[in-house]
Amino acid sequence: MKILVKFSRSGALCMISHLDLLRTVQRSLRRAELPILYSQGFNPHPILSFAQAMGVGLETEGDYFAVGMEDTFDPAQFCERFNACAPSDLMAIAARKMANKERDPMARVQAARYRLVSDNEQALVQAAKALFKKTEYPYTRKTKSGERESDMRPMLLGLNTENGVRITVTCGDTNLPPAVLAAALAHVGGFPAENISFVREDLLTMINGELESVLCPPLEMD
Amino acid sequence: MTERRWISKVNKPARYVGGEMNEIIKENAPDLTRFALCFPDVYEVGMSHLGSRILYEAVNRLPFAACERAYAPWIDAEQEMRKAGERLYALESGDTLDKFDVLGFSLQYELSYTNVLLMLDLAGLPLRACERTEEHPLITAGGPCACHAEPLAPFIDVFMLGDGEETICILTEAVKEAKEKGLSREQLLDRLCGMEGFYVPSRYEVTYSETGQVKAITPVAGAPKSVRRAILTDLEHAVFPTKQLVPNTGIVHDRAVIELFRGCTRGCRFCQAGYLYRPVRERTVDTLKEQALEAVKDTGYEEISMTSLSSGDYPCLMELIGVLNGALKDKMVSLSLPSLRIDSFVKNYAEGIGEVRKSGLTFAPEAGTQRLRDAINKNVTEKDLLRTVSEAFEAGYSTIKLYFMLGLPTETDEDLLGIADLATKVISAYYKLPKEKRTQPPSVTVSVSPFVPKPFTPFQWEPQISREEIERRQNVIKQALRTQKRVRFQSHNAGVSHMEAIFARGDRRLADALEAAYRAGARMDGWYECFDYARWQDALASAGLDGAFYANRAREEGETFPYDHVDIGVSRNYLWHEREKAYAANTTKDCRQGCTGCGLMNVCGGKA
Ligand code: SF4
Repeated sequence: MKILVKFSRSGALCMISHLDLLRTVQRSLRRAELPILYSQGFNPHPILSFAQAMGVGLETEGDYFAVGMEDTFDPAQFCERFNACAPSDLMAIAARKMANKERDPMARVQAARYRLVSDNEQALVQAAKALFKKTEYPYTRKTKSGERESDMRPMLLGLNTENGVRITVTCGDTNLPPAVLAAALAHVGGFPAENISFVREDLLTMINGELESVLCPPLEMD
Repeated sequence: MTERRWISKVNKPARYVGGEMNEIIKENAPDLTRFALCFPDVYEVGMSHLGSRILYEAVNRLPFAACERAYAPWIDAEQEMRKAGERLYALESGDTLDKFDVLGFSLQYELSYTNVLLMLDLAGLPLRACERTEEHPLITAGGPCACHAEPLAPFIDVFMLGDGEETICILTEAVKEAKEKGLSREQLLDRLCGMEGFYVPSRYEVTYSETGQVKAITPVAGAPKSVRRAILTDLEHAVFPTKQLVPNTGIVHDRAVIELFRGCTRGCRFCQAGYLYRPVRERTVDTLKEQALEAVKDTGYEEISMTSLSSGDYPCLMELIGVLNGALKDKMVSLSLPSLRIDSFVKNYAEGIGEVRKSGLTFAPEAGTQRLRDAINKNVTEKDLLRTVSEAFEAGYSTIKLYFMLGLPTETDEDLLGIADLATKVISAYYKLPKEKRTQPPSVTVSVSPFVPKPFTPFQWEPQISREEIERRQNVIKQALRTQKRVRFQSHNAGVSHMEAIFARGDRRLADALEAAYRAGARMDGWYECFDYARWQDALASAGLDGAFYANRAREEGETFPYDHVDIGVSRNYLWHEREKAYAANTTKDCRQGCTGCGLMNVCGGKA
């Protein structure tokens, strides 16, 4: 079976690359002596996949990995055992058994919600509102094959300014990296992009026409 | 840790934040003795060093002490720290180094000396001991170079010589007592001076002859005539960390480690470690198994390395491999065996080790002809090497790296051509295999580094060849390999080796050159991209010193070495005798097969 794990990373763990994070999770799983499953073959490695790659510097409160585990294992035990053996800045928040035919979280992620913090929240709120009012926002997108002109507006899905500033953007196949969003806000608001910091609050998927946390199991499954 | 905003701006920020698994954080208290282990190189290098892991554990086991870590920041981070007006700090608490009671530097190679100055400077401390006061931490240094680090003498309060795990605890306890009793720095040094393993450089006066050699080293203020290196006699029961730090980012040696034994009995005449760590002290298979299992459990590492200076010499190696394989296979842990000798790589090892990556193997014949290998006492024959590489090719290895030295005493061009010849024969060994046993066409790298004469070896009297001659000899080999398409030639920077040779046998006058070089921007000199030979030449000139005097001069038999007041236990007579045997191309047997009388009989009983 596979287990879906929601985790957070903060502090020192934000400073590492995606590959480093993968290794750190693997070693934490091994220290916890959890009954993880390994791939077959000459060079077996744990069956482990992440929902979304994370750039150096990004703090998260809601990212996901799926890990293969022996059927006898009780997912309710996962967080406690994992957290006892993981670096203090890495924490499993919730874990559930994945449904038989459930796709890996990587295939389900459609959006991400970020909490934005700034020294000057007033300016940030104004910039965010102004950005969302636009009907289009052209920007230069860096892809593997070079630079491309693109419209950011369809990638901006939601803005909430009660109790802090939260912005939901597309993620997964069409990912809007937080640094790019920061640059846009900075441009619109006329302040330096360094003034904004981000925490990824959750990764979201469409269930029944609504964006829900990836932690929610898909409907059509048992 | 306090917020340090520059961290997110620099390359590899994980170097500067700590937070690793098995990091030890103790709550600060006024009566806590705070020790910062300082590694004068970047994080990835320092974190890979086994000795530092052992000392981290040893000090942290003391209930009254806390040990933290600090590494030299890379150039970009140093610049950011200076811009932000920040001081160098230790990773565990984030407190700046000036708040600690002791800083302990690990001296692994001469070219890291500028980084010692960098770290002191970035910590806001005066570089020279005589400029520091009671307010500043005690500055100590250990590691192999501590036995001859005279160029660092003015900067260090006390050196720790020899095995560190006991010495460092004695020191930490002395610092604690000094604090309690309100002893002055001088009173603390009085206590340490004269104890085995503690060398207080300010208690020795050095005079020089008109021709520049050391004339006399005179102890003052009751210091002993010479200082003996500390030798741990019981490795089996010595402290060994199984909760090894697991970095969050990749480091040079990213695996769990067990230490099979300390010391080496081979007696290669160029090798300082072979003399500096005598006699051999081993751990039993039972203890190693226990430590390996704990280390794997505590670290989660997928690989464990059986380390030592020459792991193939461990008498129970096959038994150990069998035991570990049995215990670790289900846990998906692979074993690795570094520093294999040519004559000890047998097929069984490769098979016993199991799923090792079969990409590359390295061997170190060190010299191209049998005559020269005999002269340096590298007891390896061409036959051994060719048999071993055949076996390796057959076992599926395809890339072989061969390490050689260039400029060894008694070397001629014939020996250089021998290097090319040997590489060619390695290639042929592959094509001699029956077709069905050939796996992948071989590629051989010949890596040649200039010989650096080291203190406490039979070659400490020898000159290093000049830079021009190094380059000429490199070319001889390169030319001889010109037509060999499967052989890649790799040479080392002659300037780097020259500076190493200067500092290895350097005296205290070099301190001025060291400081001048640092002030002119020298740091991270072990990294090619940072090393600047011209800057070092200027620094030497500004101190009125001649590099060739240190590097390229043959010493008289009776010359006083700058480090003559350090007694490593191996007698000077023995070393001189070994040198004479080298010139006669006579070998000396491995002292596991019988004592050769190096001077440590009272420690090992003649049974290394
Ligand atoms: S005293 Fe003899 S046995 Fe002991 S280390 Fe020296 S040579 Fe080897």
